[in-house]
Amino acid sequence: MAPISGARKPFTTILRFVGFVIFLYLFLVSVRLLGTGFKMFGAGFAERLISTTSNPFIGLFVGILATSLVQSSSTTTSTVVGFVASGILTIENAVPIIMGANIGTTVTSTIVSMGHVTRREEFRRAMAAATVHDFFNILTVAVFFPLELATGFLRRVAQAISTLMVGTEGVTFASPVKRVVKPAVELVVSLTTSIAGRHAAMIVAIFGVVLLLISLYFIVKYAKNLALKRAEIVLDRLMGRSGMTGMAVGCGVTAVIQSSSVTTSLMVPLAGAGIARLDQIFPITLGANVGTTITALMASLAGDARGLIIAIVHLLFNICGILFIYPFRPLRRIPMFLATRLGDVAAKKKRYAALFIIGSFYALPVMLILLSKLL
Amino acid sequence: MFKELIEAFRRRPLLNQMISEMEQMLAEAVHMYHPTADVLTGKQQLSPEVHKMIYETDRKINHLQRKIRKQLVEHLIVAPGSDVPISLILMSITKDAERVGDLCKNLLEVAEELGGTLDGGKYEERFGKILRETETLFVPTVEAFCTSDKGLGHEAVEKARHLAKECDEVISELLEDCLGCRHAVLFTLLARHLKRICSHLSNIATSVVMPLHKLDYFDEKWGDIF
Repeated sequence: MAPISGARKPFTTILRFVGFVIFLYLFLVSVRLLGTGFKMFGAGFAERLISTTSNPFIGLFVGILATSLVQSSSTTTSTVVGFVASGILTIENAVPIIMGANIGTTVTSTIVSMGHVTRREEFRRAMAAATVHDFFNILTVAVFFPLELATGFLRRVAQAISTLMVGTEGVTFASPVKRVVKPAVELVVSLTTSIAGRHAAMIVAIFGVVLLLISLYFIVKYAKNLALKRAEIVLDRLMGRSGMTGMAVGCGVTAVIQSSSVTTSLMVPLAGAGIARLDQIFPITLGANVGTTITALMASLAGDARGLIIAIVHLLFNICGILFIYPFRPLRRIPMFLATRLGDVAAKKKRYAALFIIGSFYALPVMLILLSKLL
Repeated sequence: MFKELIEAFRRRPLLNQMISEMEQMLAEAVHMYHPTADVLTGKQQLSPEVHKMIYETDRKINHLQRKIRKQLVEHLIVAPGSDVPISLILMSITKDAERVGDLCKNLLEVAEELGGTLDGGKYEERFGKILRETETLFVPTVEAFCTSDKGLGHEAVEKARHLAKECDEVISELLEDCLGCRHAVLFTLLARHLKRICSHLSNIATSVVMPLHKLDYFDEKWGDIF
């Protein structure tokens, strides 16, 4: 028999850690570049963006669609943080996009559940485990989106917290991260300006987007390599304990891996295999919702207080969703009931599963965006 | 909760835990076989305590098998890395260890039907020898698994083959004999159970000497190549 793995080579671990730190730095640079690049387009661009997203419904559907397309809420929220921090997007307009990103991110685990389609019972369980996250996030948006429109309470509370932390909105807080990131951003901008001249804005913005996607991909990859061996022990030991423990596990694993999609997608085959029940998976996905907000919070370190406010909104929105739904059994049962029903239906007629994914995450947002534009 | 999280983080990697649990399964199987063989050879009296201990140990083995299977699925889903072959090997040989436990229980049932021991006759000597030799088969099998020692693995496979042949010979003799129905059935069962124990131990030993796709089959030529 082969020698047992697990005694991880320390050199590989160090290399992975160094890789993680490098891409984390590049991620922060990309967030700053993104904001700077789009700002370089001038006031006209910012005005157009603000006017497009001034309809909160469009903002919400843009959030869903963009996140479903890139399959990463971290990409959407970090971009939004970068835009808000550089002033090309207002906090008010950014909140619905953040809420939409929360729904859009659930598409990954739902797609993963399709991998079980050949085995009906397995698929039924996997589909239910994947869509419990979808339904919870849709329910949270259904409650907090109108509430936020009417009162702006998430924004206000986030502003208050941000003021306590770094001072008033618009203040450029002296983050050491920003000081470290600034030279790289300035170097890229000055090099691009000298080479590309009037096209510099577009090149910086595109470079920012590409760097953001690449850095997030590698951050997740290295973090997974560093953390999954531990994560499986934590899951084995603590899955199925209390709801609070499940949430702590989901939050912790996601915060380390930096991707709620990875955490929730791991739960789907576990449910499919019958290792974990829906009620055991549910709190873990809720914890993942909170854990994933760390990416936007990190991204905000490269910007100013406005970026921090929107990152706090993301965190508050997810915490409020849990506090509103999870402690009350009848409310808690709604997403579980809907997910179970969808699992049953999809297991019988598989086309409904495909219809749910295409309809909810792609077709419906596109249609509603177009409709909102026309009206 | 925080204490639980910290404790979980301090635990050994899941695969290493599963290997230890597999070793524990084998140790429990040995723990079941000894008293059963002692009862059959008359070294120990059949008693309710022995019966209770054998059945409890069997439940322990079954529990360990389910635990390992669950952990294997978790490991293969969450962080398989390059551990897929060893995980599949473990999935296969836990079944063998579980079967050894079951067969030890079956041996005790035969002993109970026989009223405690083999009770004289030529078969007492034959079975006594096979029982003692099977006892010595556990040692190289468990050690080969724990240390990944190919030499011990080969030794175990060879020994198991030899013992299986002896069991078949006993059955052939029983077919020619004029024993009463009860004893003929019980001795045949005994020979079959012992042969199955040897085969399952041999399967475990092949995991050390053979590649994954040839698990449970021993091919000397392949053994030479690797």
